Amino acid sequence: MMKARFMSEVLVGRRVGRCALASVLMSATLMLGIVGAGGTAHAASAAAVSPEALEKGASLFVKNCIMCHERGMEHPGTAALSYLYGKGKGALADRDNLTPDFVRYFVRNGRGLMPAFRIGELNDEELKVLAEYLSAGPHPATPAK
Amino acid sequence: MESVLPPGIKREHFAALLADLKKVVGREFVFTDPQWELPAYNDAYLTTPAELHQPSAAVAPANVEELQRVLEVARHYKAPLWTISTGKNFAYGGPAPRKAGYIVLDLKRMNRILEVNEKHGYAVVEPGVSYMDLYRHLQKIGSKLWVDCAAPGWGGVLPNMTEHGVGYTPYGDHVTMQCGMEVMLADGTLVQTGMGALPGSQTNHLYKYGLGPSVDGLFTQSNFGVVTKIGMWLMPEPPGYRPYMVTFEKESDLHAITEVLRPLKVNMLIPAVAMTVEMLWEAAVQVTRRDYYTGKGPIPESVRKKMRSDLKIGAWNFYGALYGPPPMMDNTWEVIHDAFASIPGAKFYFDEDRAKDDVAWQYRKKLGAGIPNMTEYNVMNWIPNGAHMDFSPISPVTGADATKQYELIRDRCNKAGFDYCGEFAVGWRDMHHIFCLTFDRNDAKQKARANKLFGELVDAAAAAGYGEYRTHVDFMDRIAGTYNWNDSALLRMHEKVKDVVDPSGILSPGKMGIWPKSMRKGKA
Repeated sequence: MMKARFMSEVLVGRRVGRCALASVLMSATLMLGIVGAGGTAHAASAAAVSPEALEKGASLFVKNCIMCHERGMEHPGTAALSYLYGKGKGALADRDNLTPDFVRYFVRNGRGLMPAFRIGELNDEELKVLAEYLSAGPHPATPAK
Repeated sequence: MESVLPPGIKREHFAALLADLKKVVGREFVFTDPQWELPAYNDAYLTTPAELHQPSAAVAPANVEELQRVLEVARHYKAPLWTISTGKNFAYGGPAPRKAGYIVLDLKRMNRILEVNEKHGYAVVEPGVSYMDLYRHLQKIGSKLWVDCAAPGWGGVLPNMTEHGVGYTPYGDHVTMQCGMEVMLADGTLVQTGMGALPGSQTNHLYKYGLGPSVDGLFTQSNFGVVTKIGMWLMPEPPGYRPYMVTFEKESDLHAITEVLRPLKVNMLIPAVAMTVEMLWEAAVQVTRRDYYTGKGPIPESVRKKMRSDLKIGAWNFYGALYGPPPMMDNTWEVIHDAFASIPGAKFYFDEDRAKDDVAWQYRKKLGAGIPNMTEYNVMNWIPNGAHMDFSPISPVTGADATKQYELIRDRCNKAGFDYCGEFAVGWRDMHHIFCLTFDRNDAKQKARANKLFGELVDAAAAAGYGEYRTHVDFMDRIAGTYNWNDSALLRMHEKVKDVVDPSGILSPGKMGIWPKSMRKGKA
């Protein structure tokens, strides 16, 4: 259990409260899956990601994610995360506690109503850039559609 | 998840097969890792064990040349491929193959928009083009053509058509709007259907039928070939668009709504697919069940009444739209209004009458104008960890049939402990009755109940003379089995065609109940 808690704190970058933490990662199995699939987790910061990578990440976010994860409860991903974390806390672009491995895990494995994304539609290189972009959040200016 | 082998292929042959596929598409486009690469090729919303649909690998060719060579490899090893395009056929199996061990043939990389013809109103697309891709492209080039999209706008233009999908503008019958098809047969032969068979054809995407038998339909919901390109007619932006909504107070109003609707549709006063939506569907896209009720079993009427009042919805909610010059819309509206006003309690709404944050109205408004969005997936947020599988029988457009189908599903649904969440979509002479069976994907017992209920619905509907228009991979054989007139003459004909066009049996074995000769005895 201690191991699970430690990992969850690493994965979410030690920046969420206890309640949110408990709901972010539900089981040790899940957490082990993330680490096993993605290696050592680390939080990214905007400063650590080049402007070019951020721009590319933003473009990938718009192309692949925004239909479900744009701000607003009409977007099912945002609504699902709002029900989980609280109203106004569901938009991915507003998150400041995502890590690259966390993003990569859920993109490849899905969660709740979100199906996994195939490498054929979003390859590992693109996913890496997307994950770094989201981990460098929040991104107050939602990219244009 | 452990690695699996394709049926009938030994491990050493599988390794050779993968090596050959890598020579064709490159190492980076053959996927075999069961932990990292292949979970996304299964169905997120399964009610059966994931092992039953675990692929052995996936391969993603970039073009028809690579596809041709992939088929050559598959024929050599007699390896079953399962074709997907955008892979978003969720509620009906997503990208998951019919059986474990198949190699998923992922056409997502074939994603070019080959032509947009503004003058004649069509686009030519490859399999991997989503509705949103096409919409964004049309916006980018300043086109005045509309997309007609499925409610989940991430779906694919080509695969939704081949699955007989529908949209919400007057161009909503996608099979009807498809014109010109390129298909690769299992032996690698590339065929242009219709007018495209004429070298230098000037009318490939303007006239559907060409000369001789019209074969395009043979490649929809089938495993007779791999569709690599289609033309889709696109609707020119009309001079006016005025969506409307009519709410009805009583559950029993479904009968009257449907009777009123039939002549309006048959006489084409309502040009788009007309939607009669039950209240829980309307609620589920904007609130959760626990917001209103935490008990088990059907939601009590007192609670349903509060929900209707809070959300300004009816027990049934009709969505339609007027298209055209304003005087034409005004005239048409008079007829439609008077027809529905004959039902006591009917309330009429236009855009200005609904709130800007009315989630249900806003996404229907977008769909009627072909603007892709994903809002309808909110129905799965109705319950925690929601997933869904759609049961979709076809009904005549009569009040008696609509009511009979509704009660047939509602009663079994309530008994099994699920909420009825459904809608009726009226096309030309039919209604697609879509029952969105929502269940908790993390609850094994609930999934088993959902699976059992689905099977019961198939049988009950067939006994009443209703067949489904599309189905989940887990129910393809069972539903194909209900289309059994004259000793299953249609299925036997399909099998004869299959044996001729795909003698190696490599293309999507079991799709819609059609198995190659080598697998007929072993079908699940």
